[in-house]
Amino acid sequence: MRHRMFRLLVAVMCLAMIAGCSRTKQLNRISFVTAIGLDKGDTGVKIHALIAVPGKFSALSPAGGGGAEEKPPNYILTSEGDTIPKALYEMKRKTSRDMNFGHTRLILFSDELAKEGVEPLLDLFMRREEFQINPWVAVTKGSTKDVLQAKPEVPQSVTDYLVDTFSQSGSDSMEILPIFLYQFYSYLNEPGKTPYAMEIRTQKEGNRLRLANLGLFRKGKLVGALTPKETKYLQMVIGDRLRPATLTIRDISYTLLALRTKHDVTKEGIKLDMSIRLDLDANPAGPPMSYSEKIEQEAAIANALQKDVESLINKLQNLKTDPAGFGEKYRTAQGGDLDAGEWVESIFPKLPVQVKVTVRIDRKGMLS
Amino acid sequence: MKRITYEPKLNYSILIFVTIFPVSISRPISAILEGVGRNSVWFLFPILLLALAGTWMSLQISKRCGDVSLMLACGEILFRWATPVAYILYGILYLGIAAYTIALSGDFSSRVFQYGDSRDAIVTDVLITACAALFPMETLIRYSQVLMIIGVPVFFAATLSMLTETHWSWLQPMFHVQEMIHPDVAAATVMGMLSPLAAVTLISRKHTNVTFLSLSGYMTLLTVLVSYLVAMSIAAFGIHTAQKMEYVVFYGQSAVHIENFIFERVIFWGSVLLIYFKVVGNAFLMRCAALSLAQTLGIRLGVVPILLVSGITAAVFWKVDLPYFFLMAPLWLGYYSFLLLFVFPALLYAILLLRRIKT
Repeated sequence: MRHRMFRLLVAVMCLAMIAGCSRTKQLNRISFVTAIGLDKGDTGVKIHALIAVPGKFSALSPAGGGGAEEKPPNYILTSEGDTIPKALYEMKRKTSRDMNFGHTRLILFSDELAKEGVEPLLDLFMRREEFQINPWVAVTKGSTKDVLQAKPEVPQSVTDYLVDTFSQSGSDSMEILPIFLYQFYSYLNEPGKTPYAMEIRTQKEGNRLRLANLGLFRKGKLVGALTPKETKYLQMVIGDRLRPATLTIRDISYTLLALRTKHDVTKEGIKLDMSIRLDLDANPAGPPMSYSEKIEQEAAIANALQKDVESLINKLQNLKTDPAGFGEKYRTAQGGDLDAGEWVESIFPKLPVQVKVTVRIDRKGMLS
Repeated sequence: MKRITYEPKLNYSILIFVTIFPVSISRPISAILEGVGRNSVWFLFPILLLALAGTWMSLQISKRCGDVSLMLACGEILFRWATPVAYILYGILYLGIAAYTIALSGDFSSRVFQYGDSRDAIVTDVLITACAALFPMETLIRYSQVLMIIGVPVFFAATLSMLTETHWSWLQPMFHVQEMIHPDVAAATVMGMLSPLAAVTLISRKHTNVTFLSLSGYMTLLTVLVSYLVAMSIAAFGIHTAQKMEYVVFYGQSAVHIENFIFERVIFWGSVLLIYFKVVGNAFLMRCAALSLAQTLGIRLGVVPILLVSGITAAVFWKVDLPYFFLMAPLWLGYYSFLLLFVFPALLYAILLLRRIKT
């Protein structure tokens, strides 16, 4: 009985001691950084931290409502330093609250900085436990501060806007190819694929921000970009997830119903076999499509797609980047070993490309 | 009329499963990945066979010497004072395992919950473990049974989220000799992971029912589950990135973020559940170390040996160089475990068989 009481007493004491009441920071003494922008600085790197002010989000504010006239629910702190940790530490002198990076969902690089190379900059975000490894990574045209300062109508926060876009839980499109930080880091280290990142631009009208091209990286440096149409074809080539996509051939628009892609990458070359099913979306000028016209249209679409996809792969070969992951197919076909540098510099650019596209128009919409 | 309470038999094997599980999915995985690369997925199984062979021999020795513990059997097979020597040797092993698992637990907590200095978290864990170790073995076994029914399935349900972000081709080729850079280090690390199996040597089978079939079943299940998590981690990050990460399984789960879901950060489930596993597992190992110490000194297991062991552990961690400890401990533990888990029982079993053949 005595031993039992003693054990119970010790357990209760331990429970009380581990409650964590000492040296804690209350919630109203913490600033939550939701996005980080990195620009090229005079001495090293310039960091812009987008900090959320929860009370100013219209959903949480007692006044309610929204609109651009009211103050935005974020503010930006800027600091410059030789290294990112130094700049972040110096940023502490510009705020009365402790900065918490556990909710950082977005890391932006300016195109100028991206061209110099982002690999050394990723080390902190992967190494420090405070950062999650799954924020989205993107590139901005010009300074990242311009993007962070944008005031979208809905949602009010730039971070929420971009997280909704990249997560594709809101608007989803095959012209957007998002990437997580850990994926970007993995693609830098794995030999079979090179990283990429969407480019964000500001605009004066609409919802103030738009996603434009897809930046392509080689050895951690931004070397080129794909247009939105090329990004769509890239996703079709990768063939991972089917998202809404519209194809317009000869002024007739189709939506993608189903897609199956098969890659074969060997020393002989890259062979791509794509099978696509389409739904006729808009045919404003033409008469109802007969069976023979449908066959002819399918052949025309297949021919156009084949040329576009071959052109895309040739562009990737010229840029010496492989966001599609052909190197991974080549590696597994060759038994497992592949040198990343050798693949993008000498093997991939020289491989002949053969694309075969099979198209079937399965549906014609609501008009017969 | 009083109803007779139905008390199911206490399953020792489940306690060992619950003890090994949190250890096996933390830092040791990274050491194995560094040592043998993609081969890690299957590399665990041959080492498991070695560990099970040693366990079988220990149980056979115990059975043939009247269901006593291996240490007491040692005294019968070799010479009388071999028993206290065996208690000391195994006591060092249990203390080492307990210290390592507590260090891993404290280090993990300090990182995941951003506690700060891992040394403070480790020493706090020693105190919590000491308190938990004061409870009798039956309590720990029952606790582990509850975890097995509730904790393990929930944990693995949370790991299924890793399937959404996998590149299966990154696992190929799974048998790749060029990636076996340090197979000895990897083997030692796996053996160190399985070292809590040495606790069966302490069991007196007169009072506790533990069968080799049950033990091997749970250990095989554990190895399959760990192998699955290793494969998922490689498929999520690629081998080159996975080799760089300290807690690769944790980061593999952390990589997935389910938007607009109540448990958006799926990793939270896993991290919290693991705490429950660690409390009971570490307590069990500390109790084993205290029992060895008590048996060596010829005293009864109680509060004093447990507090003595926890005091030694806390004092060691206050002074030790932690990065060096985490680097070398799996190796030392692994080689020592191999000696006591396989070599020593094999030696005893061989002597036992030779004596039987002679007679």
